[in-house]
Amino acid sequence: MQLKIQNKIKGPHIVEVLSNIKLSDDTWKLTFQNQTIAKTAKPGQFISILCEDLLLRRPFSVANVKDDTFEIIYKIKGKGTKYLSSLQSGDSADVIGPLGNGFNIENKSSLLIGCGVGIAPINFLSDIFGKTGVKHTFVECSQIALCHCERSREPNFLTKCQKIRGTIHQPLINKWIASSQAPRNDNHIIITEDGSAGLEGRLDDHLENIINEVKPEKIYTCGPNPAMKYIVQTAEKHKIPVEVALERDFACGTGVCMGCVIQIKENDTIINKRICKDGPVFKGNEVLW
Amino acid sequence: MSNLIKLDTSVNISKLKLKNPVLTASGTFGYANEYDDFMNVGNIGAIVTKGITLNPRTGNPQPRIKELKNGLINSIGLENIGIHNFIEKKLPVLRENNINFIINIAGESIKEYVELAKICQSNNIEAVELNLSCPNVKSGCLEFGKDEETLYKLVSEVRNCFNNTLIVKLSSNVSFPEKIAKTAENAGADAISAINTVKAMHVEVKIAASGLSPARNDNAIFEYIKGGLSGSCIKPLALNFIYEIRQHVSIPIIGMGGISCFQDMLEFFAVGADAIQVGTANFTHPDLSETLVSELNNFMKQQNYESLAELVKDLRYEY
Repeated sequence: MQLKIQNKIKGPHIVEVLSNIKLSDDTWKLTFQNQTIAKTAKPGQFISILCEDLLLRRPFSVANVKDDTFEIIYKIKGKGTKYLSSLQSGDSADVIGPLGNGFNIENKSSLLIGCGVGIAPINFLSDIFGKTGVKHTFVECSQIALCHCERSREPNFLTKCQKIRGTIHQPLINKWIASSQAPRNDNHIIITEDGSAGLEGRLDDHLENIINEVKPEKIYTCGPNPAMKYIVQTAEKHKIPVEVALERDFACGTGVCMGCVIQIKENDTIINKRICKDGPVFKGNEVLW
Repeated sequence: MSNLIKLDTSVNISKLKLKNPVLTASGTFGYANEYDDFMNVGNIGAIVTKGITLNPRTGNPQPRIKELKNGLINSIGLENIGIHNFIEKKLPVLRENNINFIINIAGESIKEYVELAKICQSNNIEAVELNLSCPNVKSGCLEFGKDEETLYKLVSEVRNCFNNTLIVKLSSNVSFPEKIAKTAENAGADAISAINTVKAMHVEVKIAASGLSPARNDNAIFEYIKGGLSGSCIKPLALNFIYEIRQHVSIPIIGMGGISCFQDMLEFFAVGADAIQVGTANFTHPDLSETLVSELNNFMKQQNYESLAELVKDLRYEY
């Protein structure tokens, strides 16, 4: 029999590792070369990587794209991420994607909130907003300021941040923007629990103030469920719509196994939706947390 | 010049003619062309749809999956769109794209199986796989596949209202596989597919730093999931099951259970399978079934086989 020409638009792609950089003690940024994924991925979408000695692939949000390359940010938690941290420039990996729906990009003044490694899709979204001129403010809430440390490429960044602890320091923010490669017109706010950079404390210490100051028309977020739930509840008081990017263990990541379903309230009825295929982005007020 | 040799990879499962013996297992491949982004679904022998019930089902609560070292436990609970949505939304896609398919149906009673079979007959569905082996639903399925008397009644009643290819999917969670398989054949099954996932449980015990209190487990956190086990860890069970039933039935057997490479496929042929289904491995390698088809073609060319039947005959382990 004659096989028809294969139509593998979402892979499996064998992609080359360009770099694997340690951002903090346990968090890394991995950059891959692949034109198809780099040209088609949208913020909020994910890719799924085949990991040595593991039955299932591991999903990661696309954290940015540039030319023919794309990035992921990951925290070492188990065997899959440990394997990723062993990859070196020149190695290759088996990747499928981009998968999932991605954020709905609207020309509305937006507040982007990334918590922990949930910063990944928010980082990508912020770049797209920067390039397309959508007014937005980028809040990074984590134990340490991953993206900004890396973006600012300032050797004494953390020391300087410590000096401005507790304030949103506009001149320094402007300097970060100027030093970043991508053209940006956004504001950045950092919240770290120990105050080692930006505002000290947790998201719930500052969110109300930030919303009152920024007055966003829309909020986009990704992070641990309790943080996103809090953001959705707070935003509801201000009548601001929220888009959340969810995660859960996937078996297939492509929508066939029904392993990752979540309950969603749609038009007053509760239905199952697949995080991997119908999501990972959902309207915050439709998620039954 | 080798292109001139016409390779015949086809296999007949009763009236159902398959262009090759590679199928995809129910629950791992969606309903129709879901894997189009990764492969050409039309290139494989057939897809077996997600298990379909009379009415849509929302399935079990989370957690639904647990990855183990060489296997996967799932407890999806047959979440599916129901036969009517399938006929309306998915059947046209399958037919428009010339995708060979088998519908996997599951019921809570014999009456439901019969009703589902009638709907399949009236829509001229070429092949039905009776799910008598899903371990994840409270009533039905596996209950019908364990008891010979019930199995005979169910299969023969379905047989009476469905004229096309009728496949009975069995579980290995039975005491006498050969008796169950023979019963299915006697009741009119055209083929047997085996094995479904195996009943299994995963437990994680985490002891708090302060230790267990006497006679209490307050300080231990138990995470557990009960469901069906699949993946390469069940392959030995599947091979044995097929080997045992092959000696007692003459109808075709579609083998599955942990197939993840070409070598695995050959092993299933060796113990008695006439075709195979790829299941859990689809999750990891969404193009695996298509790869197996092309590997089979290459292997037959290399080994100078003109037909699959000859290859299977030579592979068959003599009892």
